[in-house]
Order: sequence, then structure tokens, then C-alpha cells
Amino acid sequence: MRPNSAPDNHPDSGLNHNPVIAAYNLSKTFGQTAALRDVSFEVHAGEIFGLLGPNGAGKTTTVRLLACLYEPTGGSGKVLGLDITDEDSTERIRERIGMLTESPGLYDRLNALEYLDFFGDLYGMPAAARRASAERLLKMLGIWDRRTDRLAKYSKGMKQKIAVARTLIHDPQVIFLDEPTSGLDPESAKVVRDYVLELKAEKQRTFVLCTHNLAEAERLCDRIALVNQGRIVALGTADELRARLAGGRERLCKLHVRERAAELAEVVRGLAAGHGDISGVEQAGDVITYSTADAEKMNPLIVETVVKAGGHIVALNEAEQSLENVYLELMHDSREAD
Amino acid sequence: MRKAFVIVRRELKEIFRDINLATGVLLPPFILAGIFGFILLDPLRGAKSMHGVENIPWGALGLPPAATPEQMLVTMIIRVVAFPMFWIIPLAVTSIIAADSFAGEKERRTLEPLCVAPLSDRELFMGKTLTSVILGLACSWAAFGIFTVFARIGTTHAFGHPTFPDVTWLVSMFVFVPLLLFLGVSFAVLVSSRVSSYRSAQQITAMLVIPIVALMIGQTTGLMIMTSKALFVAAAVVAVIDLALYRLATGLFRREQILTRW
Ligand SMILES: Nc1ncnc2c1ncn2[C@@H]1O[C@H](COP(=O)(O)OP(=O)(O)O)[C@@H](O)[C@H]1O
Ligand SMILES: [Mg+2]
Repeated sequence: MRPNSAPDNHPDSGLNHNPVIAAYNLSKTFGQTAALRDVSFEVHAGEIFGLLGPNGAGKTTTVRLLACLYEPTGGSGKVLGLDITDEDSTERIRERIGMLTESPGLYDRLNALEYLDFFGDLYGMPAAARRASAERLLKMLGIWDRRTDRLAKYSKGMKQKIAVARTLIHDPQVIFLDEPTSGLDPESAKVVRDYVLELKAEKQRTFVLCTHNLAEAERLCDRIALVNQGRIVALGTADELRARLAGGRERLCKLHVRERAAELAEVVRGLAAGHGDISGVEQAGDVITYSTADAEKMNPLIVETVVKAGGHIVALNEAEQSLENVYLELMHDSREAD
Repeated sequence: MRKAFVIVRRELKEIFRDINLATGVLLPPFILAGIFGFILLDPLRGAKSMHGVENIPWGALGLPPAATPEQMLVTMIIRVVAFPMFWIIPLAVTSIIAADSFAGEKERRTLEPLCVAPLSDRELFMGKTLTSVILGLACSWAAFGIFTVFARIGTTHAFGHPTFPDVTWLVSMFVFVPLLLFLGVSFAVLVSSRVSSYRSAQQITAMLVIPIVALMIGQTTGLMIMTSKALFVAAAVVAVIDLALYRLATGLFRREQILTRW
């Protein structure tokens, strides 16, 4: 996990009371389906904000609302200080945002340069600026050599890169990325991810990233909103999310001994029988594992008991709570709440 | 509206790169104009008599009672046979291109990036409809130009002076056809928004031609003859339908509708 680039170490920190993106109780209903229910969050300048959740959670709906493609059924939102529900500001918002859509949506009969030129033109860029921007992006993404090939001939990964270039052609201040790496091979996915980090670092752009990929969210995002069934079920940095779940819950511990592991495991089991706080004692090779909700108290007790029984302890580790566990548990909880 | 033309330019580029679309759609009007031209010059070799044309109200077509068979034949080709063909063909061109353009965007999911771009719903709609209207009109007028050459030769031979183009034809080409093409586009938008593949969009849109074919049959049997007065009435009817379809189409062509209902 990279350090959280908190608002206070940001050059624009004076402006941080004005989030770049804000959603206030955003709701969206399609017919009978409540796609989004009372979603609120703020994203600050230079931040990568993740919307993490399974398919159908409401991620795409959220970014489409913020990009003024849908009208919210309830709530409101702001992008770059402009109200997303105000008809007069929607075009100004669109001028200043870029959105990598779920599918690349390329015009197959154009080549890369023509395609980017077309979008640059729609964004009102002069010809020279369009050309310069297209060249910079295509070079950066490593597809400059293929610039005059018809897009129909491109591989899936290259198509996604062209879509990335389209998203950034007008150098937007706010960038929405809807599943930017889904369906890409690991190498292309890495290029896209690295590029996002580079943009963030160099240009202080603000991102909202939709993904169902935990590792991606953890690697890229400063803060993550876990979304399920149209609601935000948890919000924070990856560390905060982990901590939040770890507090008061079972932790898995691993006790590494030099020899007589089976015998010592019996000793631990005996201890577990007398204490409700230790459970699930297992032994495999030289490692004895157990779970406890109160590691602070139980670990010293176990160490003491094992040493008294003549055991040699090599190491005692607390298995880190993985974000995946957090994710799965929170998803599970929010489903039960419904 | 500048951005509408940015879209038009891109669409034209794409159409001319698709050999099938470019030749299959843009070429027929010219072939047709040529064919009718040759048919028209054929009677110049001497028509002796006309049979089975008693139903046709020659007076309404501006022929004197004592018209020669050659005059009758030339008039019939120009006013009865060729006339509706110059509606069917541009209408087909426009609606096929429009169906391809809308349903094609839908099928290839290219509309979302376009919706994200900073243009108004109206610019988006105009950009997407103008291309096919422009191409339909261009084909139609170019074919009309070619046909005019033949028709002037034919009418000069039959009447001693060129009687083409007459008012009816001018009204047809410059009032009626544009209105008709607009109808074709709006219809294609409506159809494309409801079906998922551009093949079915084309097929359904092609049904627009049916009423015109009916009219054509009506003309040759003498039931319906398009005088300029009748044409103005028809134009007014089409204009009303245009307005209604335009309302429906622009209502559908709002971003949220495009992304959710299409
Ligand atoms: N146009 C629509 N009509 C009806 N339901 C929709 C529409 N778009 C999205 N939904 C529903 O809203 C929910 C959220 O969808 P979406 O935002 O696409 O989720 P995600 O992007 O997280 O996969 C899903 O249950 C989906 O079925
Ligand atoms: Mg989605």
C-alpha cells in the first residue's frame, strides 16, 4: 500500500474545503431498479478515489451521474465546483473531464491519429494542439508506430490504450476510469496502471476509478469506497478498511516451533479448552495456527505455556488481515442487512 | 453547430472507407439516372403508336389532346415512370446510411464516448442526422443533373424545345425530396434505437419505400398522377409527419435515453 497522499501535504491544500468531486446522497432509479441509493463522498485534488464492488454494484451509474450522462433521481453532486444537476453547467463539466468508458467504443475505420484528432476537435482544441497531444499520448502508451493503422486491426490491449489516449486528449482535470484494465492482459494492464500513477504524480489530476479488482484498487487508490447493491458499505484507505475489520474480530496467528510441533499443538489445544478466546488450533509441519479475538492477551499466554512445556519458539506471526477478507465480509454483511 | 460538422466530417470519412457502403449505396442513383436517360432516348428512334395508356390523364400532365405517340411516351417516362424513382433512390440512400450510422454506433458502443464529449444534445442529433441527409440530397441532385441532360434532349426532339425540368420536377427535387429525406432519417433514428443490430435497422427502415412503390403503381395505372398541386399537398403531409417524427427522435436522442434505452 502506498502512503495516502492526504490533502494536507498537497500544494493546493488551501482549497481542500472545496472537493474536486462531491456526491451528496446521490440516488438513481431505473424503473423499479434502485441502481444507486444515497451515495455520498468527496474526492480531493490529486486523489485517486476508488469505487470497488462486484458487477451491478452501481459503479458505472455513479460515474455516469457525475459525468452528467444521467440525471439523478435524488441528491446532488458537484464536479470542479459546478452543479451536476444544473443544465447550464453540464457542458462546462464535460469540457473539463475525461471518461474512460466501460468498452473502448472505437471507430474501426479510422486510424489512431484520425480518431484522436476527431475527439480533440470535439473538445475545441486547435489542430496543432490536437496533433501534439495525440503524439505525446501515443508515444507514452507505446503505440506511436501504429498510428496510421486502422483501429479495426488493433488488439484488445491496444484498443484500450487508444481509449485511454482519447480520455486524456484534452488534458482533463478530472478523470473517470470505468474498469480500465478489465479484459486486458497483465502487461497491458500494468502499462495503464503505471500511466495513471504517473499522471497523478506529475499533473495532480483527480481520478475516480471503478473496479472490481481488489489488488488494483489497493495499488492505485488513495481511498476506496466499497460499493454493493447501490450503497457505499465502507469508505477509507486500504489500511483503514483493514483496521476497521480487524478491530474486535478474529485474527489468525502462526506459531513457528523448532520441533515436537504435534505435541506442542496439544498443549495449545489444552489452553484453548480453558479459554474461549482461542480457537481453531491446527498444526502443519512446524507451524501451529490458531485464531483469537484478543491477541494482546492470548499471545503472551500461549508463548509462556509453550516455553514451559519445553518448546523452542522460532517465530510468532499475526497473519495480516487481507483486504480481500475485508471485502468479502463487508459484502456479505451488507447483503444480510438488506 | 460547428461540432455537428466535426461529426459529419468523420462520418463521411468512414462511409467512403467502407467500399460496400460507398459503392452499394452511392452508385445506384447514378446508374438509375443513366438507365432512364437511355430509355428516354429510345423512343427518339420513332414511336409509332401507344397502347394501354388510356387510363393516364394526359391533360393533367400538360399534353395537348392531339399529342403524338412520341410526345406521349417521353412524357410518360419523365412524369410517370422516372418521377417516383427519384424519391425511392435518395430515400433508400439516406435511410440505409442513417440506419448504419445509428445502429452501427450502438452495435460498436461508440455512442458513450461521444456522449461524454462537450456537445449539446442538439449538436449530437444534428451531427448524426446531417450526414445521411447531405449524402441523400447530393446523390439525388447529381442524378437529377444527369437525367436533366437526357430529358432535355428527349423533350427537344419530341416537342421542338426542351420542356424539362418543369415546375413539378423542381418542386419534387427541391421541396419534396428534402422533406422526404428528413422523414427517412428520423424514422431510422427511431428504428435504430429499438433494435440492436444495424442489419435489422436497415431492413425495417427499408420498409419506408413501400408507400412510394404503392404510389408508383398508382401512377402507372393512372389512379394517382402527381401534378404540382398534388405534390404540394403531399409535401405538406410529409412535413407534418417530419415534425412529429423529429419530436419523437430528438426526445429519444437525449444522453440518458441513448445510454439506457438504446
Ligand atoms: N439502464 C438501466 N436500466 C435498468 N437497470 C439498470 C440500468 N443501468 C444499470 N442498471 C442496474 O443498476 C445496477 C447498477 O449497475 P451499474 O452501475 O452498471 O453497476 P456496475 O458498474 O457496478 O457493474 C445494476 O443492478 C444494473 O442492473
Ligand atoms: Mg460497470
